[in-house]
Parts: sequence; structure tokens; C-alpha cells
Amino acid sequence: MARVTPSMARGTPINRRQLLAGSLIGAGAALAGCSTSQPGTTAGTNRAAPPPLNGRSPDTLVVAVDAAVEDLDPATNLDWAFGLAPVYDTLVGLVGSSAFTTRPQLATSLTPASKDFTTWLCTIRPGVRFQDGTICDAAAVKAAITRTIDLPGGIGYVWYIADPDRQIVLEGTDTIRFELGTPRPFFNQELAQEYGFYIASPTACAAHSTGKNDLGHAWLQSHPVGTGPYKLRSLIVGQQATFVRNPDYWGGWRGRHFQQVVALTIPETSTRQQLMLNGGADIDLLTNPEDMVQLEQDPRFTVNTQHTLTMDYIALGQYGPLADTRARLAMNYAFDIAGYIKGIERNTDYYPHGVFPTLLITADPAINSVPYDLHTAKQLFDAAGVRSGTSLSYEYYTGFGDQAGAVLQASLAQIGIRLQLIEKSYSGFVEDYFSNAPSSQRPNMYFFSWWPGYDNPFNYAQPLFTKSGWGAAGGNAGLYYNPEAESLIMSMENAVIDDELRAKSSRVQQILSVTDPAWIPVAQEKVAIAFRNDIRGFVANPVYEETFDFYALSRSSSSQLS
Amino acid sequence: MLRFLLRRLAFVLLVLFGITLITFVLERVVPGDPARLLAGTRASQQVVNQVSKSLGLNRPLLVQYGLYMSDLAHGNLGISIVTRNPVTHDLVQYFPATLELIIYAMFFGIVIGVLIGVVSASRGGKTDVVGETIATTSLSIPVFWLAILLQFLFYSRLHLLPVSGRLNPGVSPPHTITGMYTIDALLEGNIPLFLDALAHIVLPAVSLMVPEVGLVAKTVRASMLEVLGRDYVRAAQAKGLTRWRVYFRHALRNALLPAVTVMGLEFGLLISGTVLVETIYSWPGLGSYTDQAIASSDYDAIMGVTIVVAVAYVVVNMLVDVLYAYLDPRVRLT
Repeated sequence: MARVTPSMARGTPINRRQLLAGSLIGAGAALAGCSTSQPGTTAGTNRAAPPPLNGRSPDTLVVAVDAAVEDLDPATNLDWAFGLAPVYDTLVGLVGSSAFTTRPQLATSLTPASKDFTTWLCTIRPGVRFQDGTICDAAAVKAAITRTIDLPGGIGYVWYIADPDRQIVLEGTDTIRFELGTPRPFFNQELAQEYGFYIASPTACAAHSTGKNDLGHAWLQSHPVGTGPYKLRSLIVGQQATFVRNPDYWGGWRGRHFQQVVALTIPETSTRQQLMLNGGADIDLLTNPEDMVQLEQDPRFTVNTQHTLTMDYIALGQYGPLADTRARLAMNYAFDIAGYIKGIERNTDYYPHGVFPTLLITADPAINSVPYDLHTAKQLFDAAGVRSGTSLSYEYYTGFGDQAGAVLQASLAQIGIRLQLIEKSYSGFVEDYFSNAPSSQRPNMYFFSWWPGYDNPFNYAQPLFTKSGWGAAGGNAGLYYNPEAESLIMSMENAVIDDELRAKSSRVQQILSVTDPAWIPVAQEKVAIAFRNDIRGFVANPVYEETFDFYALSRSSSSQLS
Repeated sequence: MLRFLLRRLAFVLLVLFGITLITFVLERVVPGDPARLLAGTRASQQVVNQVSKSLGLNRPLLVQYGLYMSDLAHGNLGISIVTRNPVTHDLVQYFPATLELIIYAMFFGIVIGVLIGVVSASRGGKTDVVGETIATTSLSIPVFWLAILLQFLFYSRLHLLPVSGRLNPGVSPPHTITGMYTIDALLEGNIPLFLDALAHIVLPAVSLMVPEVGLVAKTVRASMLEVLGRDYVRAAQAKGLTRWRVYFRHALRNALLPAVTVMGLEFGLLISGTVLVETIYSWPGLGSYTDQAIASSDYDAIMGVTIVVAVAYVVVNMLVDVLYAYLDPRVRLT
């Protein structure tokens, strides 16, 4: 198979795991006013000892998750990096809770070697070994990256390196020169992403390869070999994954760390809740609002709410009755964001400030979403020629977007607009959303969710709001096009973060949110994670959603809880 | 008997052909793009097309079906786009989990149901009222509600049984022989592992068992009432045989015939109908696998599950027929 040239959108749309979780994701966040306290710190003033472990080893961390840990091949896993993070390393990582600042990981340094950012120099940490004992040097890293890019059906396109043989140049045993061909000033942020950038042992992959269409993939899915702090001891598909310490981990084992980490796959929220309340689990990932309220009010637990870069939208189609700017502005006035977040989401998401998430590095906090005003909406619809009795269609997939659709339907009904809700299966929705079908065959709007691959306005906006993101090429299912926004967004590619970029980003945000609205911003998602009070060390990062640095976690003794 | 089995085998092949054809066409007609799902939602159309080609989705439907059936004849059920494993590999993992659950549920459901049915029919009066009440209640309780209630009672409140899964966290499963943990642990001689697996199966099995108790009890009761009025039963009683000998040795064997049919159908239904219990108890069985496959338009996985369920149905019904012949010598296997 020919190597795919980097030609398309650079953001990260909804992944399969999140879409499959559906309503659990949409509802599964935290509480209004909940602090972003970390486990082991006081969310309120009343902190009690957590439930007894009931014979469980304190050296084992048990995490209750809603989806199966599967496909541990970093060259194909686009769904959920939870199982990859303990076993593999990326070349660089993100510092703490920053979505932008990187730190050394497998690479001790990654710096631009040319002023135009087309060449980068990477120094590999010396003396690191993969969990199969083979050395992780520059040659091994190059082989691992090449495998990721070459694997048919994989996600190697995220590297945007068409010819790894030529573009990844070895300079000695520990140095790699990346000849990227195009300016990429955020190459270090790109390499800190979770999907497609973990480094697997090329020796192990080659040894278990069954041919050029496999490259060890079938084997690596359940036998991951990385350089990370934990090794996979056993994987019971659909039930649990057990990770044990890698004694040869390059970071060493000074300080307090877990010996073993067990991820239990428990799709049902009430079951996970019972497990937490009775001491069967240490961490609970993604529960519904009612469960989170209970844990927040229980002094034995700490709930960490993580502000994310993920936004929920109603993606409006710039065709049919909504082709006119006034009609799309009317749609924004017709959706009661505050009512939705308070009444439906129970304040478990944040109010959006326009189409950009507030955590986006260039987001303008002065730009607000259009307020709810049905009278203004009606006037705008009339001015745009959208008369009472007009029928619009809204597409979503099961468990994701149904409630937002119902809220919008109820509002529009009050001003004589009929909204037909079309429910699809996840697969059917994906087929529709990312299709090249003409506007006449598309619904008038979709419910959609998005977060960027890395914290950058171009990375965020280009796939969603430019012509290059239309149809199968990106996430612009509404076929939105505004000449000024288009020009500004494309000029932001590879631009450094400075005042000029911020000004451009602000103007784009204004256009997309108010002047010529593309979509309706519904909510900024929070991710909520519940911890027993004796778990320490968690630092939330908006890019590393729902994955953990298990190496950094530890269990305190009961005397340390106060 | 041999002729019976050969005829049934031919019937199985015919059924498989029909089911695979219908399922194959239906799943491809329903909206969904597995190539897009496999490639990722942000893959370029070029990549999606390449994946589609590698899956053979760009070929005419008839050609795709022909290729699928050819692979099937060689035991190849294709690759799951969700798990990225061969479907055969997945079914070997997931099917025994469901089978183990059903076996326990059906076994105890039948034993308890037959007892209640016999006692109810034979005693009459208040006993019959109690028996009927138990049977009706068992049938009426929603399975998902019962499952959550049992979790709450036996895990949260009494701390007697585990809340979910097949084994305790961090415990490795036994070496795979049947794929059923309790049996494999016993075969391995690993008693602690057997007890762990047994403890985990109790609640989900009971959740599935309760409706079976009701169904079997009602069916057996109705049959028993009909049989107890027969002349040969009166003759047996007149001969001075004990009451329980009359009921269990003479009456029950004939009363079981309709119940056996119902049980056979129930067994087949349960193979594909355990998704609620499996979800609540995080039991990684066929129900969960199927649910995931349908949501992702995982064509090969859907086909694989369909074939397994179809074969299971046919096999179970074949066993029912054999049992019929055993229970009633007048029945000839043809």
C-alpha cells in the first residue's frame, strides 16, 4: 500500500469509544461549582477515610472504566489511549495540566533546527530499553515511527511524513533529524499527542509480523511492548487489563508507586458506583450526574473535574433554509444554552463562550455565545425568509444529542418551526457526517463533538470551518464557508502564538459565533473522575482526557489523610 | 438415529445458507460505513477507500457474499473492525462466557421450576396458589431490575458476593479448555480459582434463572395437571405406589414433553438475549459483543454471531428431539 500523503484535517474529531459511550459521555461529567481539587486535597473541609479495601492489596490500583481496554497497538488505536499510556512513551509529553508546554520523555530534547521550522532535531534518551530488552535508540525510534506510518489501515497519517526513509534521518545512535518539508512550529506539541505517537518496540513487531499488511499488528494488540513504567501482565478481553511494574523503567522507582494497576471494564454506571462505594475500586471514570453528586457529597471521596478542550455543537448546514446568515443566527437565538446546561446537564458542563473552547490558547473570553431570545429568533427567521411551518431536520446518533435536539425542537415549535429529529446508529451517523453527499441529501444540522489534536487555533478550526474540511476531508459537515474566516484560519497555519495570531483567532471566533454563525455551541465538556481520598498524584490535562499517568499515582496511608 | 442426524445436518446447512444470505444483505443495506470507522473519522477519503478495498467492500454484493461463503467454508469468519481480531478468535472468547452463564441459569431454573410445577400440580389448594404466585412473579420481574437489586443486596449490603466480572481484579483466568472459567478451573484442579469464578457467576446466573423458573414451573404444572388425570396414573396409584413415585416416575416423564420444547426454545433465546445482564454485571459475553458489533456496523462480527446463534438453535432443537424420543418411546426420530 502506498504511503498516504498528509493532505487533510489535523484536528481530532470524536473517536469511536466516546461515540459508543454516547449518553454516558454526554452526561458524564461533574458538578457546578465543583472545585478542580486533586485527590488527596480537600474539596471541602470534611475529608474522611475512604472505604476499607476489604482485603485488596494497597499496592494495587483498581480503576473502574466504562469501555474495554483493547487494541494496544499504538499504530492503530484511535479510540482510547487509556491502555497505551502505562506501557508506552511518546518522544515528548505535556507538562502537568498544560495543553501547550512540553517536557522530555523518550526524547531529552526536541528543538527546531531551522528558522522556518521545517527541520527538527531530536535527541533520544540514552540507555532506555524496551520491555523486551531491546535497546531504544535513534534507529529503533525511526523504525517504530516508520512502522506506524507504513501500517495499512493505521493512523500513521497523523505524523504527516510521507517518506520516513528520507525524512527521518539518523545522526548517530541517539539523534534524529526530522525533515518535515513544511513549516511545523508546533511539531513538539504534535508529538505529545496520544494517538499515533507512542513508540513500540520495532524488534517485537518485526518478530511477530505475518507480512507487510500486518507488521506485527495482530500480535501487538494484546502484547504491547513499549518503554513505559508498566507492562501488560494479562488482558481479559472486555473485562480487565492488569499492568505490573516494569522493573527496568528508565524513570526508576524511587518514591511511592503502585506495583500493579487493574482496569476493570464496567459499562453500567450503577455497578461502578457500587464498586466505588464499597471499596472495590480506587478510581471511577465517567459516571452520570446523579452518581457524581452522590460521590461529591460523600466525604470519603474526592471528585476531580477536568476542564477540557472538548466542545459539543449543533453543526448547522449552510444550505437550504439555513443558507442565510440570519437564519443561522436565529438558530443560535433559539437554543437555550443555559437552560440545557442547567436543566439537562445539571451543570455538569461549562457554558460555552462562542465556538472556541475557553481553554484554547487563543480563545477570546470577551466573546460570548448568542443569548436565548425566541422573539429575536423569530424576527431573524422572518427576515431570512424562513416562515412558520418550515420543517428542518436534526440528525444525531443513539444516546448522543437526543436531549439537545429535544430542547431545540421545543423552542423552535414555539415560533412555528418544525424540527424533525433523526436518530441514527453510530455507524450510520458517521457515514452521513463524513460523507461527500451533496447538501440536498444532508440533514439541516447534526449534533457533534470536537476537540483538537493539540492546543492550536488552526488545528481546531481548519477541519470544522473551512472548505478544506468539507465532507470526507474533515468535520465541516455543514459545508460552512465564510471568505474572511477562511482566509484568517488558513493564515494561522504554522503561525507562532503572538498578538497577531490572537487577534486573528479572536476575529475568527467572532465571525463563527456571532457575525456569520457556523454552528450552535452547546456546551464545553467537563470530565469528572472520582478518587478515593487516599489516592495521590493525579494532575488533569485537557489533552490527555480519561487517561492516567499511573506512575505518578500513589496511595497514602490513613495517617496522611488529614 | 444416524439417518436422523444426517437429515438434521442437511437442514442445518440449508438454514445457515438462508440466514447468512438474509443477514448479509440486510447488514449491508442498513446505513453505516465500516471502512470509515476502521480508518478513523479523520482519515482522508483516500485512506477510507484503501480500507474499503482491503475489506472487499468495493466489490458487488454478490461477489462479496460469494467470497464470504468461501471463507466460511474454510472456517474463516473474517476480521472484526472493532476488536481487530479474527471473529473466530472473538467468538472463542465471548461465546463460552455466555454459554457458562446460560448453563447455570437453565440448569437451576429447570430443577427449581420442575419442582415447583410438580408440587403445585400434585398438592393443589394453597400450595398451588403459592406455586403459581412464585411462577407468575418470577416471570413478571424485569431482568435488569432484578440484576441491580441482587447487586445491591448481596454486594453492597451483605458483602457476600462480587458485584461484577468473571474473576476478582488481577486474578488470571484458568488455561482455556472450554472457556468456561468454573469448568476450566475444576479441570485444572485449581479450587480457589473455581470458587472465585463460581462466586462471580452466582448473581448473573440467578438474574437469568428467575424468569426460567417461572416459565418452567407454569409449563410443568399445566402438563402435570393434564397427565395426573390419565387412567395409567390412576392405575399406578391403585397399585399402591407411593405418591412421589407416581408423580416423578410415571407422570412427570410424560408431562415433561411440552416443557422440553419450551426449554429448548428458551436456551436458544438466551444465547442472544443476555445483553442486559451482561451489561449490568460486566460479563464479557456474546450479548455485549453483539451490541458493540451492531453499533459499529461490524459486518463480519454480526455475521459470525448470527451463524453461532443459528447453529446453536438448530443443535439445541436437535437435542430436544432426541430427548423427546427418550422420554416418549412412541416418538420416532425421522
